[in-house]
Amino acid sequence: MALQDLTPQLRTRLSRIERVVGVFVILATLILLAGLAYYVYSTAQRKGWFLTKAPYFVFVQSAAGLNVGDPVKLMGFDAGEITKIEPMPPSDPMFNVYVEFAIRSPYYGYLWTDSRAKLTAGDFLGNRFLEVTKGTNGVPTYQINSGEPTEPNAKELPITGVWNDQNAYIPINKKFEVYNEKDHTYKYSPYWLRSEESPSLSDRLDDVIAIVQANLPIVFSLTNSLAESLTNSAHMVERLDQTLLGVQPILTNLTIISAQLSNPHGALGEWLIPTQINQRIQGTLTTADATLRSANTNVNMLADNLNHTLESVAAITANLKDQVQANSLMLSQISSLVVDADDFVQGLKRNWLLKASFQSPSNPPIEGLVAPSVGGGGK
Amino acid sequence: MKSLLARASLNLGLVLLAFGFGCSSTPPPAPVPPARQQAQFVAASALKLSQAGNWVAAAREWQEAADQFSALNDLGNEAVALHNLAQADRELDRLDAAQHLLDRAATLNQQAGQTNEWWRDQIALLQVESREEQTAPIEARFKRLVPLLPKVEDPQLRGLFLNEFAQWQQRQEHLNEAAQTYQQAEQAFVQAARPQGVAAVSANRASLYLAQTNYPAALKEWSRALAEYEAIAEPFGITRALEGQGRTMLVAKQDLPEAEELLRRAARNFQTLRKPGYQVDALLTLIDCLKARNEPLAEAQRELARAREAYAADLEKAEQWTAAGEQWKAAADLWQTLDQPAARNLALAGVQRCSRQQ
Repeated sequence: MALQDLTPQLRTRLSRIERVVGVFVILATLILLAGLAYYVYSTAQRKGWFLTKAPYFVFVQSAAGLNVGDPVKLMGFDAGEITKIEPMPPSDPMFNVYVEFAIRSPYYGYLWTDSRAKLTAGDFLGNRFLEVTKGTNGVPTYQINSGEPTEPNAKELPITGVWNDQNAYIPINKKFEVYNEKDHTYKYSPYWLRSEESPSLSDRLDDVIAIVQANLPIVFSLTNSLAESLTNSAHMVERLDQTLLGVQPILTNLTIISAQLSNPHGALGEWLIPTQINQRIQGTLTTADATLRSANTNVNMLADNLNHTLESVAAITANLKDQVQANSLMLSQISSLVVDADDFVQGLKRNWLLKASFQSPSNPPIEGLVAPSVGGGGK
Repeated sequence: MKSLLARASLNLGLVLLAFGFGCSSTPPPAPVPPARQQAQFVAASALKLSQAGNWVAAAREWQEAADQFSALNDLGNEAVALHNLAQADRELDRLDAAQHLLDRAATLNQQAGQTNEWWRDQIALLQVESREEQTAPIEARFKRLVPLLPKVEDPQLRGLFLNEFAQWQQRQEHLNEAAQTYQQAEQAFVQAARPQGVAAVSANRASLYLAQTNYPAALKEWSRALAEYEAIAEPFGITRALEGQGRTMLVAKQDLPEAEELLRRAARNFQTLRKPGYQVDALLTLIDCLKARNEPLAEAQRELARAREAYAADLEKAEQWTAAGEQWKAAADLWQTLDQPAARNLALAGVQRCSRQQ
């Protein structure tokens, strides 16, 4: 049935419904687009798409357990991700695998020249992950703004230079390229971090198993020896038991003798200590008692004197405290005096006339160690 | 007149003040870059470990220092670090690794133009090759180095090289030439004020006299070496001199009780110094001495078995499986002689372990 065939009332109602449906579809489309845009925005923020990412690379012995896209850790945070893993040319004698990774802002501010990239075992399946360590004693690997130190809370840290082998920052553009004056070209120049590689847990377990296997014969021989020792001990205990049975009558006799000794008229004490000695011991004890009494008096006097001395010391320290409180600026004045004296001495050190007197001790250059051999160099 | 003098002295004082303070001063020296400072710190730490005889830790530190100098493209210091790493490996009986490292160090020193360090590498290579008893390479090296010796100005290097050369001549049984070369080496060490070198030459000369069966002269030289090592307080040298005196007395059949005492002291000192290879030699000589005196051997044989086991363990660490297996076998035979089946089984387990690794 065509629309023209409908009554005018029905046509009006239908066109109103069409308008409502159109508005609904447009609104739904707008909401969908807004949701998509918000999802893209939150993903970008989470993955740090809008942040500057500084490129670094390391050389490792093996790429086992490493994948492009794996996160790079710094102090437990996901600070970046691996961007490239390539084998080195067969002619390279030193390194096997080139691994490049990008560190997001502001984490690259923590990486200094003494930072290290550690390859650590991740799990028992042979996976490993890359962890970079915070620098403590060098200079930042990338120059940020005008070379100011990194601010940890800053979200975006613009990079202007990279630290190079000549121990200076060289300018770098936004694509991390360095300008070569000879051939007027730009060369991509990520920073080389030194690596510390540890084998995966499965490799370590293999090594442990090999060592255990090698030492099993020794363990078995030890257990054999132990069994032999235990058998010998059992024999010994049996013999000891027989010996104890033999000793029992001797113990009975000893009990009878000791009972006899407890009798006052035949006891060992009266045999050995005659009456005169008892009297002398009593006299000695009386004298010792008198000596102890006089010593007690002396100790009391000594304690009194010590008390006086301590009181004097307390008075001296109280005076000192008063002095310090009265001169509250004394310490700061002493401090500034020391600082000024240091400045003065540093100036003297640079003076042309006196600098020879302040030659700083420096480590002598290292040289090869060779000792004269006796009888063919030794074993 | 007085006021004139006072004015003149005042003016002179002002001029001196102007010179002293006014014309000052040089800017402070440029700081050493942190990376280089770190590498030098690692090298200094490694040197201390080498001097203390902690060879395992020293090898690790020298490797780290070599890597850091390599990253800085500092060929000279990298070569020295590799040389010292090789010396640590040599002390740990890793002779092949030491030889390879010394070859690399020599190449780097040649590139860096460090002649003295290159000579040190060559002398260390001669010492390693002597220990491995590689006759042909040593001969070729001496043929190449002897013509270059007159260009060496450092008396210490001359002494070290001549000491090695004299030992080579002695092994080739050119005893008279060796005696002359020892003389030159001693002069060089005296000129360089190196008492350790002088003592080493005395000990080597005593060995030469022993080879010539000139026992009184050998005993005199051992006594001299002992006194020189005692003056510089070097325990290893002292022990070798004691062992040499005892061995010479035994060969000369003079005062055997004294020889036994000297050999016992030497064996005990080698054990304290953790030199089981030398301890084995000293105990073998002691057993010969006890046989000559018709004394019981059991105690010395037990010590010998233990020393052989310690030496075998060291050789296993250095992955020298053949030599380690031989030591375990000798220890097992000794334990059988002493009727100690449990200890013999342990030694036989060592033999099997080494034969599996070969």
